[in-house]
Amino acid sequence: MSLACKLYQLNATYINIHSDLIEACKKGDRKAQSRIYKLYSRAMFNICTRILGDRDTAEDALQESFVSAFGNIHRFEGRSSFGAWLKRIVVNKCLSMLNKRKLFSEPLEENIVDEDTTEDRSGGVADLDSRQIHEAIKNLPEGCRVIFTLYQLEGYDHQEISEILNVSVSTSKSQFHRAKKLLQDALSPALR
Amino acid sequence: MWEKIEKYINDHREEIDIDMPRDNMWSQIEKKLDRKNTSAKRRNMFDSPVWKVAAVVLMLFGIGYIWGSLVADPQRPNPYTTSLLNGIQRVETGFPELKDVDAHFAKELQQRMEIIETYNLKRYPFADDYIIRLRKLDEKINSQKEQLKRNGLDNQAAQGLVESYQHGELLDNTSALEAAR
Repeated sequence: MSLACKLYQLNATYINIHSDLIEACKKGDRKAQSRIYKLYSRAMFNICTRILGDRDTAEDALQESFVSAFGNIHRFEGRSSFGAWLKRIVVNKCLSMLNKRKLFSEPLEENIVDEDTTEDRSGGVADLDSRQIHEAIKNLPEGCRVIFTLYQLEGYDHQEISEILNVSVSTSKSQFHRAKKLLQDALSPALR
Repeated sequence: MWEKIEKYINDHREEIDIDMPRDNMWSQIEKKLDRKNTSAKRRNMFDSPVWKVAAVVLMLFGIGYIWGSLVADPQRPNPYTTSLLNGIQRVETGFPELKDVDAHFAKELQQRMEIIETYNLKRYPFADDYIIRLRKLDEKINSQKEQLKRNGLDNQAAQGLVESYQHGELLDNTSALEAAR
């Protein structure tokens, strides 16, 4: 069997497992909902903590997101993966809570950092640690942390970010570059 | 250097998801889902057309009851009418020549009251004014009769009483009330 064929089968199996669960969730099956929660809660919770910055608010966002997702699961038509659909809900919920707290009350500055001018410190990837990166991202200032999370980790482009955060594209780009520089500074000891 | 960090992030995407939600998070979500389902079921039940029709019928009954008991109840005593009808307890003058005309007036007054009661005219605001004027006329006649009893029957007093009895335009106004109903 060719690799492409195996991948196709693997993919088909993946889709089928989730579609069964999703169909059961649509009927209100609590066990299926619990399985979906176990499958996605960790990834979604980390999106919440990275965007919102604190654990308590992140837990509120996670709860509300799953309640909202299961309450509206009949609207999920399978045009995207369930994970992508759920992630949209989680990100929107987090941004909504962020707006409620008016944490974006201070305008994001267009602090453009030229990538080429950042110091190239050599070091090995093997020296990096997942926890260090996780903490370094969470310790970023709020504005650039949210933009970094959305762009680098959740796959949004700058145009989308500018629309959902109501900032300009150049602000989104400059804040992303600022986040990169701050992360390099924070992680440089590990890379020396 | 950034390329190395980016590569690490991309290669270890799931590993950097370090945070874990509390263990009891799912049970809290379940509770919220249960509450939502209960309220949704309750809402769905009342969304039924049968309930909507029932609600409309109940509302109409309610409006009818309020109208009937507070506005259009013919049994509801009207303070003016009650007072006026009580006033029809005629003052006896003891003068036989006045007995027939007084009885006639009392009968006319009673008829007007019956018309007002029969057609439930007292629910119209202008009926109150009419009833007040009738009551004042009746009070005036009774007062004149009391005077007659005290002072005796003289021509002037008798003339005044007759004029009061002939206050026909007031008695005829009942037809206007009927027309307005």
